[in-house]
Amino acid sequence: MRNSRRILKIIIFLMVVMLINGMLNYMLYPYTYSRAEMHHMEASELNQLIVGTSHGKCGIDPAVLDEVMGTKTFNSCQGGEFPIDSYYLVREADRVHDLKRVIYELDPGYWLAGDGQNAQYIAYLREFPNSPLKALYWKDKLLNGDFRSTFFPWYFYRNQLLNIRENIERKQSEIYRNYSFEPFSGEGQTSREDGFIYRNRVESEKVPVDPLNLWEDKNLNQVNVKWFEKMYEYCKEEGIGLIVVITPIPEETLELYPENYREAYDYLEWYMKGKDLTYLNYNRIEDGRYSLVDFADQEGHMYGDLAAIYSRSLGEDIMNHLR
Amino acid sequence: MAFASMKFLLFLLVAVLGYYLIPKRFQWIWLLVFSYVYYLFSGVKLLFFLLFTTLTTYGAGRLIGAMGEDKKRKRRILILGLLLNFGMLGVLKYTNLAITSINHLFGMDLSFANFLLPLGISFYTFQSMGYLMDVYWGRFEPEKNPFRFALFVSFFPQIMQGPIGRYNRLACQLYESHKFDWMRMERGCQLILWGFFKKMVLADNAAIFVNAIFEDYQTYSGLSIAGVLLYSVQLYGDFSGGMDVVMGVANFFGIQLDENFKRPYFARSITDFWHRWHITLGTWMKDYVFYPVSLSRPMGKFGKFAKKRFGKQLGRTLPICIANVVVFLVVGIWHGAAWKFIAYGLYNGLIIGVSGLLAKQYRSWKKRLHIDDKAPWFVLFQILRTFLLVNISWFFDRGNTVGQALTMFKNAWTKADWSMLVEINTSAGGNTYTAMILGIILFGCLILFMVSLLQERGVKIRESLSQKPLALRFAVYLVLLFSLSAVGQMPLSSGGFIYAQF
Repeated sequence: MRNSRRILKIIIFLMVVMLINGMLNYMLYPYTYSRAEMHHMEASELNQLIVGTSHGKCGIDPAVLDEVMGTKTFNSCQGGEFPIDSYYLVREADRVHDLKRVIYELDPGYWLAGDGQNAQYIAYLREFPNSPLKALYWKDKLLNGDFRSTFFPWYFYRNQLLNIRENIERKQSEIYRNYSFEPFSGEGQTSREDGFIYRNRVESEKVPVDPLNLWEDKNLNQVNVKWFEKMYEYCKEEGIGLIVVITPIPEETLELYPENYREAYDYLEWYMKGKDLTYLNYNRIEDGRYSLVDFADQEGHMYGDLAAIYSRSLGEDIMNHLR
Repeated sequence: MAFASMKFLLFLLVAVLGYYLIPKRFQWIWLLVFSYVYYLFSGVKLLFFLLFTTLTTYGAGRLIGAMGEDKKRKRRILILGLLLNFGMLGVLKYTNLAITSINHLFGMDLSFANFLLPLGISFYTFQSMGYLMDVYWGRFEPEKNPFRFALFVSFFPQIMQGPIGRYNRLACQLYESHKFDWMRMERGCQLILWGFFKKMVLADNAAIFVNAIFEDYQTYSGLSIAGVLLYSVQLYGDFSGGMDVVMGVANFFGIQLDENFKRPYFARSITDFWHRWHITLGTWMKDYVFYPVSLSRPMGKFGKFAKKRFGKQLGRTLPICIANVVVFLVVGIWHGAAWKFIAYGLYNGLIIGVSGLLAKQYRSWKKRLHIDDKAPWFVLFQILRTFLLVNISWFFDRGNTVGQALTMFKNAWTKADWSMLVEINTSAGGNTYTAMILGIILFGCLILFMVSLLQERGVKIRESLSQKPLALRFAVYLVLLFSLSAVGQMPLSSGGFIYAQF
C-alpha cells in the first residue's frame, strides 16, 4: 500500500514535469525552417538530393539543376548541418524516395569544428518522422550529449522570452499546419519549396569570414570525416551516385587566407581522389561562364541570380562527368 | 561517459534496475560488471592501467598478509607495490613536465612522450595505495577475493573524480546486499539535482567569464579580482557539484561515500579549509604522508636537533611544519604536471607550516588584545582572511603558468576595472546576456550561501526537506530541475567536470 502511494507520487511528479516541459516547449520552441524543409523533402517527388551547408543552400539552385540534368532535386543544405546530419538526411530521403544521386556541398570549416550544442544541433532530428532511423539518428547525435538536449529542447531558445506570443500564434496558424516557408522569406531572401534560398540583392553589410573556421590540417575533426565516410559507404552500397562540390568563394577571401585554403583544398583533393569520387572544387576550376566577384558576403554566399548561373555550370559539369 | 549525458542516465537506469531485481548475493558482481563497462566506455586500452593497479595491489596485499611477522619482507613488498603504482602514475603524468624542465634548464630539445592518461588514475591509484599501506600496518586483513577487490578499485561513480575511498568504510558497503529503499532513492535524487544545480547554474555560468579572463589576462588586466572570485565560484560549484552527483549515484546502490566537502568557504584558517575542501585527499595525505613523514626516524632526529638548537617550542613544531610543507608539495604534484601546481602546493604548505610555527605567538597576541575567539566579528574576519588567502592560491590553480599567476596577482592589487566585465562575449542569437548571467551567478551564490549557512548551523537540509509537505517538496524539485535548463549553461564538452581530468 505504501509502495503504491509512493509510485503514484512519482507518477504525479513526472506528469507535472512533462506538463510544464510541454508548455515550455510549446511556448519557446519556435516554428523552424527545418520543420518546413523536412516536410517538403518528404512530400515532394525527388531523385536527387543536395546536402551540405549554407553555401549550398543559397548557391545550388535545384530548379536550374533539374532543367539542365532532367532530375527532381531537393536542396537539404543548411547552416549548421554537419556530416552526421547530411548522412541521416540522405538515408531518410532514400527511405522515402528512390534516391539516385547525392550532391554533397562541402564547406571545409565543417570538417574542423565540433558539432555544437545549439538550436541547429537538434533541429533536423526533432523534425524527422518517427522511425527506427530517427532512433538511430538520436543515438548517434544525442546519446553522448547533454540530457537537456533530449529532454528540454526549449533550452536552446530560453533567452527568447519575448517571442513567446509570436510562437504561440504561429503554432496555431495555417502557416504552421501547412509547413509554409513564408516566415523564412523577406526582403533579403525568398525561401522556396524545393529547399533553395534565393538571396535577393539588398543593401547590407557584408559579413566577414570567421577566422575560427579556417583550415589547419591539425584541426581536422575525425568525427566529421567518419560521418562523411558513412555517407560515402551508404551511397556506394545503395547504388546512389555521390558528387562532392565546393562552391566558389570570393577571390579576396582566398587571398586573405591563402595558406589555409591551399592546405584545405590539397587535403580534400587527396582525400577524394582516394575515394574515387567526382569532386568539383570551383575554387580551383578556371571558369569563364560566370563572374566570381559579386557575392552576398565575404564567406561566399551567393545572390540568387549568381546561384542560377553557377548552378547551370554545375549541372553541365556533373552531366559531363557522368558521360 | 559524462554524468550529464543521456548515455550515463540510461546506463544508470539499467544499473539500478538490475541491481535491485537480481538476487541480492549477486549485487556486488553486478556492480563490478557495470563499473568495468563504465570504464570501458572511456577506452579499451585504458583498462590495462586499471587492471595493472588492481592486480599489483591485490597481489602485494595478499603477499603482505601471508608474511606474518616478517617485517622486512613485508616492507619490501609494500615498497615494490608503491613503486609500481606510483611509478606508473609518475611516468604517465609527469614525464612531459620533466622533459619540459630538462629542455628549459639545459637548452635541450627532447621530444615529448605521447602517453595515454587513463581517466581517474590519480584517484584509483591513491585509493589502492591507501589500502596497501593499511594492510601493511595491519589495520585490516587483505581482501582474499580478487573480484571483490577489483570492485573496490573500480566502483564506477567515484572512479573519475573521487572521493578517495577507504577500504574499511567502503568495501563492506560494496560487498553487502542492499534492499531497495525509497527514502534513500529520494535522497540520492536530491543530491544529484543539487549537484547539477551547482555545476550547471553556478560553475558553467562562471566558467564563461573565468575562461575569457584567464585566457586573455593581459587584455582583461582590470578583471583579475573578478576572474579569481568567479573561479572560486566555478571550482567549488564544479567539484562539489560533481561530488554531490557521485554521492547521489552511490546512494542509489545503498552506498554512502565519504564526504569530500564541508562548506570550505566558511573555513577560519587554511588548515581548516583543507579539513573542508577535498577532504578525502586531505585525510589521505594526513594518514599516508604527514604521519609517516613527521613520525619517521630522520624527522625524530631532526626534532631532537631542533630542540637543542632552537628550544623546546620550535623543536616540537618545526618537524610538523616541514611535514606539512612536504604534504602540500605532494598535494600540488597530485594536482598536475606543472610548476604552477607545485607553487600552489608550496603556497598552502608554507602558510600552514608558518601558522603552526607562530601558533603560540598568535595565542599570546589574542590574549593581549583581549580577542574572543568566538566573537562574531573575529569569526567573520578569520573567514574573510582565509577566503582571501584561498583566492590567492586559485591564481596558481587556474593560471596557465606561474608567471601568469603572479602577473594576475599583481594586477589584482594594482588594477581594477569591473566595467570590463561587460566586454566579455556572452552573446547568442545576436543578443548579449552578460548582465543576466552575472545576475544568475549572484542569485545562485545567494542560494548556495543560505543553504551552506543553514548547514553550518546544523540544519540537515535534505532530511528536513523530506519531512516537508509533498507540494513544497515538489515545488523545490521542480525549481531545481527546470533551473538547469532555464538558467544553466551547456558547455560543448557536455558537462565535463574539472576534476575528472585528474
